[in-house]
Amino acid sequence: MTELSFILNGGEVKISVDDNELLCDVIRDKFNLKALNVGCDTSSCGACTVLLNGVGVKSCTVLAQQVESQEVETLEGLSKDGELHPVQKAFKEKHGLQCGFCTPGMIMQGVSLLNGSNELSESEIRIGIEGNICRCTGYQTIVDALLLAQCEINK
Amino acid sequence: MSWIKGIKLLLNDFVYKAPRSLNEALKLIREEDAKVLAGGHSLIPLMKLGFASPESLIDIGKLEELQAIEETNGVLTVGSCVSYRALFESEMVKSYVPLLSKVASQVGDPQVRARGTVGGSLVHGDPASDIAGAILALDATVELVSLNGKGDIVKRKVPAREFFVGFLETVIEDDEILHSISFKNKCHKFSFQKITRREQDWAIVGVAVAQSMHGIGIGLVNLASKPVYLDIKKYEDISELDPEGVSLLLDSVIDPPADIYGDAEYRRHLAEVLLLRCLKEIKETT
Amino acid sequence: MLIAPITMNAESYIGKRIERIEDNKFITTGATYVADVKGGSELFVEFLRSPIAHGRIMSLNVDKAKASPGVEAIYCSEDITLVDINPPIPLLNAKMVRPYLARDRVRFVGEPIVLVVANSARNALKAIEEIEIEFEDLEAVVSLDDSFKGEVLLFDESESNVMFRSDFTSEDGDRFFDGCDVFAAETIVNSRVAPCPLEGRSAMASFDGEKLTVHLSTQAPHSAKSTLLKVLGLESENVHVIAPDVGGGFGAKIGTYPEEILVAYVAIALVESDGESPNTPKGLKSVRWSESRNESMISLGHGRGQRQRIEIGGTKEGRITHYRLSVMQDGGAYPMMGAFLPFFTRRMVKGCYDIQKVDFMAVSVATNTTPVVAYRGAGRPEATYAIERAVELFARKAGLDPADVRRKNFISEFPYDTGFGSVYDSGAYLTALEKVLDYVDYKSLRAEQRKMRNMKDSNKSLGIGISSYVEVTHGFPASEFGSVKLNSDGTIFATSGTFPHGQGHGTTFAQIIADELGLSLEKIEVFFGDTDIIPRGVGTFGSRSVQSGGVALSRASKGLIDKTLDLMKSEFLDSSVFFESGWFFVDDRKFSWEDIARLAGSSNLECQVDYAADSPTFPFGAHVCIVEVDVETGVVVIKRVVALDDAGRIINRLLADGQVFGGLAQGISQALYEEVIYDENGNPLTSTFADYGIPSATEFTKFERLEMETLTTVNELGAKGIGESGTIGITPCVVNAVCDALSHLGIDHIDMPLTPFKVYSAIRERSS
Repeated sequence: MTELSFILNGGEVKISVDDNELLCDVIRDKFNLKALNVGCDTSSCGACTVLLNGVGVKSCTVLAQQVESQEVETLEGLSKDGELHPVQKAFKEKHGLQCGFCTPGMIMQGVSLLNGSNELSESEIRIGIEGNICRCTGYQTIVDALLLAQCEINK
Repeated sequence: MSWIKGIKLLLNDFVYKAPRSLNEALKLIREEDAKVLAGGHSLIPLMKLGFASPESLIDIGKLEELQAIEETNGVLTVGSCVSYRALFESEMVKSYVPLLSKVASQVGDPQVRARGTVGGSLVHGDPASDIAGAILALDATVELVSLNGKGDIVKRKVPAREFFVGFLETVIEDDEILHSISFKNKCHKFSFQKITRREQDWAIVGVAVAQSMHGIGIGLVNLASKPVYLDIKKYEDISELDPEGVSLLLDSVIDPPADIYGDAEYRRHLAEVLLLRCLKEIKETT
Repeated sequence: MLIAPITMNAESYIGKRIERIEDNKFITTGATYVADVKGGSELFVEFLRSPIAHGRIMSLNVDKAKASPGVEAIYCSEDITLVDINPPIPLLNAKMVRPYLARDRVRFVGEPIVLVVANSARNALKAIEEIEIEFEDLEAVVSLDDSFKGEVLLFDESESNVMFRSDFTSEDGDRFFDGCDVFAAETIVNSRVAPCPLEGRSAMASFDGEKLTVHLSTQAPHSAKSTLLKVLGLESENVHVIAPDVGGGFGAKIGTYPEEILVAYVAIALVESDGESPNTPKGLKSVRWSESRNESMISLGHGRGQRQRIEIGGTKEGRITHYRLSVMQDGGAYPMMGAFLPFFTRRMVKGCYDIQKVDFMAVSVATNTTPVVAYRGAGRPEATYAIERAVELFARKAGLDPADVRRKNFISEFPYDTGFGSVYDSGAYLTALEKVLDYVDYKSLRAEQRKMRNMKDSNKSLGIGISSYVEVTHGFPASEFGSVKLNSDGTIFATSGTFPHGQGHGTTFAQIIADELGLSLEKIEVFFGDTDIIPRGVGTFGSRSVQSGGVALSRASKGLIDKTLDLMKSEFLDSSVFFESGWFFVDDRKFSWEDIARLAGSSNLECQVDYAADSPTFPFGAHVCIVEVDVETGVVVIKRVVALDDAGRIINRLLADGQVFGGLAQGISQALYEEVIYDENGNPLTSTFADYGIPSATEFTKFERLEMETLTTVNELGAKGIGESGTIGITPCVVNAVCDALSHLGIDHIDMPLTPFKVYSAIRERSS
């Protein structure tokens, strides 16, 4: 067990972790933040995506200790003071989710993408979420949602 | 029953160490069954499937000197722990070796590009690595570091085309860390073509071509047990290369693998088509 | 009971695009799947699974594993006191019986052999590594032909590997196609695919000495309950199944799997043997199991898996007169729903066409592979694929435009009895096709294609694919439960026996109720997935939910109004009492639902309805797909997908779009990307998401959807199902497009998935 401290959803946290614990497991099991899901064993599906220093990463492929002193943000930390993030609002408005399993990762990757640029084309958005598998939507409504969120952010 | 590891995720028990200096890291990797961890995007997936189970992981991902991208005396040096994302976002890389930018922007998916590092990919030595193809085409030099008997850091420079030895095998020794990759030639004419199942997948076949003042370099991805360099020095003018010439050239260096995505003949054919397309693109680049 | 069709006006919720009520949780804190549900004192189940496709278990020793840290209990086949599993349908080979854990013999890679319970999943997995087991390899039966030959049998008890047969052939045999001017035939494969709900199977069970509570990731919680109580010998009141949020199913989570039943079995067994437990305190324990992706890829049921012989004949003018479909279905190692898929294929054998003479025969066989189950469409996509590929080949042989051939052969009068177990209720197949062809300007596309082909040096070839389809939804009309209850604050609490796992019934059904009761949407809550709260139910599959559960709730809403009117009449004798647009009028006074709730006090204003439709419904549509094929590399790029899917009345257009888009994606995926592959020894080669390769957003283009609503008269909503239509029409459409692009090279057919390698190989074969 090693002491680990990092910023989780804006607050500093300290916790003991095993050396072989993955970030996804620590977030789910130790902080009881269950939004992110683990959908595969091969870093393929992106359902576990969280922001690490503002950039989307697959938390199933990051050792907990690799985030020492860094900033991690999960879906639970996204809305501020009860106000939904534009990406969250757009997912609802455009029906960007069905079963919801990919949604936490998809939303966080969408936020990461829009953090990086606010003039993305439809095809750039598609490339931006190519690491996130959705089995329900055919991606179209997700792409629509991210285009809408981009519009809202630029307003 | 080791096969079960492939079915259900189980990371073995290991000790994680995050050294604060390169020197300390080089000491730690001399321990039994230690493995170097950079972004973890080659190693952690392998460990999950039970294909690697090191005793200790030495995380070099936070060492600042391995994150640098800098130009000195006309040579561009990229630290081994630079992520793909940092690589394609770097204006310096774009202006010096744009091929590397382009390739980095197409490796895996955005999350992988955010964490995966250029050094991690090269050390893994995968024959299907796009980055390997690019550094071969760019005639890069790989710089390895280790400790000598006195405990001082010593450097070893290896030309990229001598770096890859066999399947998942490079010249890097157990006590060495890949420090950086350097590019001595600015190179503005380039082409990169790959065929993948899905965009984020490994290339079924990839071809990287770069032309500098010093000639043309070609890197071939997933066409042999290791990334392959194709030497066309004897052709002064690439417009001399016709399909038959390309075909002969390729046959001298490739030994394509076969899997569910393509047999050897298909890969051979793709190599030819893609190489001709690359050469055409370069020719058309003003 | 005859009920008039619903009436709608501008204020109606039905027919609008309405955001999902249920989304708020999903986008802020995430859903609650079984793995997110807190248990009490927790134990974890893991399985030792067979590493070989076919073999005998020669020795098995779990002693070391029992001593492994944290292990609570270990179960082998002989420790399980349950009766072996019989095929789920009586028409399937009853001699093919499955033990819960493999006994003596393993029949597919991934079959569970030993169950380990430990205080953590990690400890359970570590214990599994300590299990000593030896196998004697038996020859693996992987190909359909080998299975049919029967030289190696999967079940000693059965004299053949045949699981199911269906024979609707005429006497004519070889002379069947006599007299046809044009005849075309091909053997085609409808490839095996993995359903891949993003949430794998997951179960958590606890037993308090009397009552069993099971949280399950399922499409059908009530069916799971009836399976559990039957198998475990419990009384109905002692089994409580809760389906929390479920991360997709696509047909693969309709049935209850051996692993899930074992989790419940273990929860009971551990309590009954309590006192010896070394690791956990006495009392209530929850036992849980969540499969990993790799585990899921080899042990959750697969879908499709048919080889089809299509033969088609007709006149040189393009009238199709004869069609014969012979199906060989891969059932996998044990008979589950997959073995029965040809039954559904048979019902839809004719597609949209009025063909005089049709023959159908099918045989399902066992192979040493993961069992096949229902997957989005289940048997109907296979029928559509066969007929739409056949029509395409016929048109090519006749030298006619495939659109013209379709026009000449559509069924146009309804109801239409196919003679194969389907009576099509309503349709407008020609209109649907003309609409999509007009929309894409079919004539200009063909002209562009000709132009491109005449261009020298172009390595790109344009392909235009068409498909027209009809399918069956709510295939076995079963009674569905719905209840609508007035709360004391004037809001509504409704329950349904269907079970949404992404479809958004919570919103769709609320729209139906709100329109009926004249209430605003936010006053209505619809609840699903708890067998203690909802007395009966069937579940969600086969695109049945709106036309069964939705209609039940529509009627329950009407019933609630009637019940209230009765109450009012008894309260206000000699007054004129009636209900209109959300108000109860009594002489010159009017009462809202809120008023009623106050007046009713403790009297229970609830109406429960069990509604069974008289017959299935038959949605239909037409799809067009435009592709560009790189003939040098074999790479296929989809340029456009246009889909018209007519499922009668649409309740929520936004959600209907979602169903269609998702279906299109899965259908395109089968056509171009996905396939479960085994080597000749039955080893799966696609057992991870990295190998199996579900497409991401970059592989698709923007889907264009056209709407059309041809109502059904089967129910008063006029609604058919739309959950599977996208998957059904698009797969042959894409293959037709690619084959169309390659027609000038003499390529008639390529089997799915049309990977660059396969497409190039076909070109290479033709040109050599």
